[in-house]
Amino acid sequence: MANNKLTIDLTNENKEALEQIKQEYRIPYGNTVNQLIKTFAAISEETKDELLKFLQYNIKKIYNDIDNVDSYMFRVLSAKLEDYLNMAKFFNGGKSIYDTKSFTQKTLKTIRIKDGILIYPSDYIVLNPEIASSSMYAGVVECRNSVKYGEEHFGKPIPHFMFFCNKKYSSEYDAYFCQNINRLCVDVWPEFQVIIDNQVEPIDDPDKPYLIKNVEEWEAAPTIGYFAIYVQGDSKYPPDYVPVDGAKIIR
Amino acid sequence: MFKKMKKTDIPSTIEEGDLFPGKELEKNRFNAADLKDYFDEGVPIWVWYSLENKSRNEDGKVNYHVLLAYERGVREDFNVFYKKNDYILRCVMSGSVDNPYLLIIDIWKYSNRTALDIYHEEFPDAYKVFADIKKNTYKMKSVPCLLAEEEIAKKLMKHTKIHFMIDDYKNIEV
Repeated sequence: MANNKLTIDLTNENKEALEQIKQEYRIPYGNTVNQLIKTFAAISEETKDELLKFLQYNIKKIYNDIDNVDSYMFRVLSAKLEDYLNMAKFFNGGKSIYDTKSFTQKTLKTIRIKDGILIYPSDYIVLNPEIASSSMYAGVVECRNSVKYGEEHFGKPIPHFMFFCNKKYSSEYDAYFCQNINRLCVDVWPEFQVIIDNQVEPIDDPDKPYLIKNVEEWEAAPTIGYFAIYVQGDSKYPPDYVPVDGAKIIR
Repeated sequence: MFKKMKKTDIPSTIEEGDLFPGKELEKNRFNAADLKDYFDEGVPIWVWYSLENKSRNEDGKVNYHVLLAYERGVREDFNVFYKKNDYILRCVMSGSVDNPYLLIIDIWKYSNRTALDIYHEEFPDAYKVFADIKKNTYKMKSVPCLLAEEEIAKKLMKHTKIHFMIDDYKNIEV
């Protein structure tokens, strides 16, 4: 072997790890270091990218699941996450990839609709996929206080529901249309009936014009909202409009 | 009796071991699960950011937390993280050596994810980390939070963290 001797500073635990490998497997320090460099540092850019993608996927998955685990599993998953982060940092040129915004960014899906494609977040519950190909537009059901009300009553946030239709704007949704959408929501998510039963109508205060008498009760209610999904390039929206949750229709 | 807070009262250097008799944690062996356990047990965790001893992080980049401290005119910054009710508070130590007190600068809703975020975002820049096992931190003088608990709860429904600037406290008498 060439005489390429270097003096390097090791952390205590890395020194212990090298010593352990030497003791257990009788592999000299130099061989371990050389093998590690060959295995991880000297790999092709393509392999590096593939590994990085795998690590990013797993890191995101653990990050999004971590709130649903108890102490023992937290220890297991957080250690795994740290291993993945360390590897990813190495393949990413020493730069940490810990980025809470990208971890929680919604994954988008696409579906073909009449004369276009709809892009929507994967956690939206689709109410009537069977009419997607004959529908020009789509809309979303969102409840006010969805996180707070949902956590308090169902132990989870109220999800978003998406429906296909042939109405471009929400101003075209009439009461009958909304009732049908509500029925579809109950079909796929029975808890939605509780939300329907707990709608609060705002009552005008006769003594104070323009004010709502039951404002506190009304603000705390899970008021159901129906919103049309943006059609890219629609002149009714500003040119720099950013679609909510990334949901949009492309013609 | 009361002393108005002045930026210039903040000590420029503090000797190691002066103020934090807590147990020093070996940074390389201390992990996110340990941090969560300390939070659950109500043990405050002190973090020492030091321009003198760690002006750059492990990647060789300028230590962001030190930079923030430097902007406040301090070379050594001491932050404490602890759990209170359902929240994690981050306080900076302010005042003078004779009259130190804590100012809340960040509030998170406590969850497993918060423990992970704090561990991965706030600790890598630290020069040293201490666990205040005896919980002496709770005996320290602190400035009341600028928001009521209901307001905090409301804000944290939409945001992961509430941040206060040191200047937000400028009219508060301590």
